[in-house]
Amino acid sequence: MEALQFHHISKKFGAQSVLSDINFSVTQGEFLVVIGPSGCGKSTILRMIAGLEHPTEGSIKLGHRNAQDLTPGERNVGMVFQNYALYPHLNVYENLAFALKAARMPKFQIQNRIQKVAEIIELQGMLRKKPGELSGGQKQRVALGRALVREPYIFLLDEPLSNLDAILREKMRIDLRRIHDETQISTIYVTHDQVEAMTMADRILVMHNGKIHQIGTPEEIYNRPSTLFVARFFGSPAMNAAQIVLQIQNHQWIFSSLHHEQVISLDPKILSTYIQQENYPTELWIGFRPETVQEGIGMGISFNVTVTQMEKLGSRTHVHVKWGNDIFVYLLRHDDALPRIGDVIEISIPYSELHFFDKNQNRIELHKKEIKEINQSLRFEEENFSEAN
Amino acid sequence: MITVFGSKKNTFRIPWETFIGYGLLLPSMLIFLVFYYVPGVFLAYISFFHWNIFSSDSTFVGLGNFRILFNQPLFWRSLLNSLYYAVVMVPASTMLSLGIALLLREGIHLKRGAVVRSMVFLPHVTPIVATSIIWLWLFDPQFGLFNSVLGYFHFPQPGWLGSTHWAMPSVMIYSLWHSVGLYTVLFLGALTTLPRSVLEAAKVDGAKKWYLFRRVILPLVSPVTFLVIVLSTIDSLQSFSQIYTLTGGPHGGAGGPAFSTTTDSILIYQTAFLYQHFSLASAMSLILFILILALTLMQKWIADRLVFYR
Amino acid sequence: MWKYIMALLRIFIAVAFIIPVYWTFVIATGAKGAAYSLPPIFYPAFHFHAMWIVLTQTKWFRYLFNSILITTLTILSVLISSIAAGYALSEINVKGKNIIFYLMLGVMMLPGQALLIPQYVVMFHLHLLNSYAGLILPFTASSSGIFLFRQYFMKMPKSYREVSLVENVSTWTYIRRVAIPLAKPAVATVTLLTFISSWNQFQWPLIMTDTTTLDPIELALTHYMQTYQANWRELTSASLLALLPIIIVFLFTQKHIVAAVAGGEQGGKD
Repeated sequence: MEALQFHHISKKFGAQSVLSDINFSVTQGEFLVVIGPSGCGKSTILRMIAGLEHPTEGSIKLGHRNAQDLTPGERNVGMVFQNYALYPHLNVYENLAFALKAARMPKFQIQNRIQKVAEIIELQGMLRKKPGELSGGQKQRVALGRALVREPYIFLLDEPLSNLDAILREKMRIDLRRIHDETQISTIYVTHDQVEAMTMADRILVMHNGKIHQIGTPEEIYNRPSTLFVARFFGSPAMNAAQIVLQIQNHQWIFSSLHHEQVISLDPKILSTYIQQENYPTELWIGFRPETVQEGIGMGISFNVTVTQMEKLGSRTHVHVKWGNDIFVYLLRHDDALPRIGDVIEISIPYSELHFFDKNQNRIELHKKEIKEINQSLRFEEENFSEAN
Repeated sequence: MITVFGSKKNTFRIPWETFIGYGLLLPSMLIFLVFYYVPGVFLAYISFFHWNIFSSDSTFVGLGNFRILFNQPLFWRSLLNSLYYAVVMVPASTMLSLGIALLLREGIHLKRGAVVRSMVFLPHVTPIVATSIIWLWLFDPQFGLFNSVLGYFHFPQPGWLGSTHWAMPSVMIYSLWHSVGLYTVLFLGALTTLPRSVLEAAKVDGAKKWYLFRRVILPLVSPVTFLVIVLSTIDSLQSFSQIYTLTGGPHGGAGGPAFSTTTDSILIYQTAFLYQHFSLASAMSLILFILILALTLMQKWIADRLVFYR
Repeated sequence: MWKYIMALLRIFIAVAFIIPVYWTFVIATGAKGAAYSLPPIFYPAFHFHAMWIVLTQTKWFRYLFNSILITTLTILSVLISSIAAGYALSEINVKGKNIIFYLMLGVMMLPGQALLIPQYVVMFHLHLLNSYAGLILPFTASSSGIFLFRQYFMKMPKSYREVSLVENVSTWTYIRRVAIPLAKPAVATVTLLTFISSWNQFQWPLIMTDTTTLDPIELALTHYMQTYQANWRELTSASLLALLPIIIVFLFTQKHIVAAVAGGEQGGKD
């Protein structure tokens, strides 16, 4: 039984559609990160789980219960708000005990629970302090503790780290994940920060403009992004992408940029499944991550580019190059030789590192056979290459 | 329980919380209805009847009450008195309070500035009857402080509350003393929150004090000015306690020498509770009701055109 | 030069405004017949005999009791009804919320004087004349109180209530343990303002009662005026005694009242 299920959920505020046809489920004990740019509807999803918003269409199931039959209080969810929502006139202990007291739990039981939770969130000594005396990180942990004491069925966190500084954020990422592992509570974590998503999630749900673009493990999200948006959202610097047109010239596959005439030749095996469709659109997107780019002509496709700029970041350098109207970025280590601005160079990307997206920015899956054949010819080329040198 | 699908309002709402909501509003709403709105509606109704409230018989007389009223010179006199009172009080209290506020504005953050402000404000919170008593003495033509001082300087000594010409002005003086404090505090509030940048920019431009006042300060405090005008209008048209106490109420009647201080509210009170003519009193009340409401709305209409909101 | 004139004017104004209260004290504590002396006496003589007479030989304490009873009950009721209504209007989504709010504010626009006759009739039919209930009940709801609390609750973050909803805390518990404690300043303001208006009420008890046993202090003073006629010493003693509570309260809460009135009025207009 899944901990949570969304069936065809839509949400409109008046005439404005915030969520369209959202479907996903969360398994017990899973840590799901919902990520997307501001305003994409992710907080709305969280609020609907909590019962603070109602869907316009669709249904939500919490375990085997239908959410629409339950008030927020009956759903047994724990929620951590972005601004912590700690009551300023109560101290930490009273804040943690607030809901339990309201539920008429016996005093010793409340004390027990709070002791346990205080250990988990590492705030044992602070129980008598008021929120005004706490730092941001401490307040956040109290907010966490407040949700934990109720031993909820599901944990909802709404951008909990966004108000903290970078160093604290790093520490809290580890702490949050640890708390999750200790308590094994199903957790849904909303953020716009990809680092948090990549490091903390069991699975990531990527959203944009009210629609789900992809659900998958961090590895899947990163290596097999379903849409161009997902591909460019994750990875720093972002994936290089260009719009291209596929053509046959002189019995050879080539592609050219949509905006200018530079032509790159392409191994025909690579998109063989795609071109077998009837009337396939010839406009595509091609994408490749900066860290997979190599200088010089190599195995794979090559671009002839002009160096425009370099950003030196200490351990590595970002090199910006221009291919017609498109700008690409690739990486060099700090001890590599740097090109000069204005140089015209060749860069190449192995076929296995290429991503293709159709006209609508959806991933074109390369057939397994294609990849196998490419890898074979790669090995063949590699042997030849190294022999030649 | 809750139905969620296709709910018209997409804001979160739990049915029994709606129930609680109405429950929380009920006490206040009930009081307002029973003691304010119902009487309001009732007023319009009973003005057209001749009736004795203690029994249940009443006869519909249509405009009969009003006809009787309009034939009473005292009725018109009371209207005149009320008008006289308001027409003097409103500008006087507005200008006086603004003047005092301007005067106090400089030193308001100092301790003595706050003390003066408190002294000006104190009369406003004090009970009217209690303070009217001393004013009765102050105004006493023979022994009162005012005439003693005036006599010392060989100035003419008016009869104050005992004279037909001076009775109303005496009441006005008291009312100014009593109400100016509130308006001064309101003006001070506005003056101290004026954007300094605007004032300083004007000063740098070489604006003279009068110019500064007229073109810069006045427009900027106009919302409060409007508020003060409305408040003092409503207040002066409904003044009762001080007129009652200062012009003989406890001794039966009030209304001043030769009816010079018989205002609307005084006359209504007398007609109803001294002479037991409830029907006439109702008719008068209705007139007063419409008058004040109309004036307030008119003032609002004017203000929307003239007041400069930041 | 200009500065000195301004300073002088300020002193003049301060003196002018305090004269009546000061002289109340002078005459009340002066010698018998001090009120009649010419030239007038400027200093209090600190004879408290007259005040003693008023306190012991009249029904002063009865009147005081009335005032205290009426004012206390009024304040409590106003707080309860205004907090309730203010909370409901700010946090709970009921249909017609806005209409109700404007109706509640609208009461302030009704001319009080004009309503007295029909109010008397309503009171008569409800058997509330000549009763404490009649002097308290009509004032147990306050438009400005509701307005103030609503403002205050609207300023509280919505997440406070939301987190308690998720935690299955009832609305009543939330109001009791979060909303009200956090609204303490508003409670203080409303208490003060209600105290002042309730303590000073005169015309309402004048009309709605015709015995003297229920009279609050203000109304009682008019009885003293009848009894004492021109006994200025006793009369001003009585008025001084009536003024003292308010003046004491004022001295301790000046800043708060001034702030409340200035802020409240500006918010409460229209």
